Amino acid sequence: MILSGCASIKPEDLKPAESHPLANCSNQTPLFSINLEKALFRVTMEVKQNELTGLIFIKKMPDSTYRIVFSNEFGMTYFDLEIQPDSFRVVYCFESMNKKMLLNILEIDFRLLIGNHSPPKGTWYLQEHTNHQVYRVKDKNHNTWNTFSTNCDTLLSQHASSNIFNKTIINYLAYRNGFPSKIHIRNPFISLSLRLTLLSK
Amino acid sequence: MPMRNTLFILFIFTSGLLVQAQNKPLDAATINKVKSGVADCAARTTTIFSDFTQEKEMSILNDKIITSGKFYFKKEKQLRWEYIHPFSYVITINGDEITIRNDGKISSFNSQSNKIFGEVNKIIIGSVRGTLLDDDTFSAFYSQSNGNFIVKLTPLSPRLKESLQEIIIHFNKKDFTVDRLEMIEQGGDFTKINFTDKRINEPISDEKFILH
Repeated sequence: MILSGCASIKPEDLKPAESHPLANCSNQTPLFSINLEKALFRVTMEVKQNELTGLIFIKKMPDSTYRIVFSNEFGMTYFDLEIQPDSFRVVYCFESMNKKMLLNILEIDFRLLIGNHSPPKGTWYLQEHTNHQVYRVKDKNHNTWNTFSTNCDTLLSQHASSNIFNKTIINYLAYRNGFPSKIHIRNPFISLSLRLTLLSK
Repeated sequence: MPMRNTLFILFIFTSGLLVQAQNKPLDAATINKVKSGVADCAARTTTIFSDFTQEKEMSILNDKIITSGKFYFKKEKQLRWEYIHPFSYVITINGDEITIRNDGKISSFNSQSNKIFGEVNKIIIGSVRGTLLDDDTFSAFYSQSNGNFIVKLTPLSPRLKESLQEIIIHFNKKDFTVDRLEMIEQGGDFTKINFTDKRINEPISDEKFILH
């Protein structure tokens, strides 16, 4: 587990792109690109050997804050998080999940998922064996590699790290009408995984 | 006093009266009638099969998550919740053993090892069997509406208090079965479960409570 947690997040086989690849590259996550107002996902969350299932509801509020509510099938809330560009608030968290380390990681995961209003300027690469377009963004906190499809209209994955222990990998899968119907978020170092299946938006 | 303030005070005053009228406490004789009605109903009920619709209301978000499915109960402690829409998920409870089928994968655990499921199990079984009304880990407030006796249960145990503010059970006035269960969380969100098309004492095979 430790070894997989420390592995590099940089996609393999990259060479700098000679120019910005294609005009239809948005540099943004699917949730941000379509200006998503709200979405309901079926979710399975695994932390080490423990599994929780339920629903995650993501909603963009009128002030552009995002609320992320995870509840079990009976409706009881596990956590309710509020994310703003420069702040993070735990509105509610069930006692046994209310751990600083876990909440910090969830903040990073969901920030990546919902996207950024003004992402820093990055560098384009071409992944030679797949012809995927890869966009690297580095800010003071994170180093993120966004991998797009060959024609650059679909975000396939995000690999992000803030240090050697804190890594997030998000895979966007099974696109339907421009939106992924499955999203898989992994944090290898603490063996946290969230599998989201879109129910409605 | 500005008109806006006057209207506001009038609104608060009248809405307070409305709430009081709706939740007028029952007298001791009627409370006893409810308790014995629920106990009689529990005693003569061997099985329940019904549809349910569950609504989770998130107060601040002004949104609802609606799910629905089938509910099965068999005396003494067998329960099956089957969510059909918008996803497929089955949970069975056999005494203290909880089994879940999610995405075709089956997992089992003891209700004592999972706080949330343990409490949910106690609330649902206790509502159906009427034992929750005499549970000293809750304080009870009895009221009524046109078709229901309403029992508002406030948890007294610190552990349950952390997540739940109140549980409200709506008993049908005619047959004392549960029409609706509401769970109000500390954050103000609440979940309503409405039971419809109830069939009482129809045979249900034990197989229904075993997941393969």
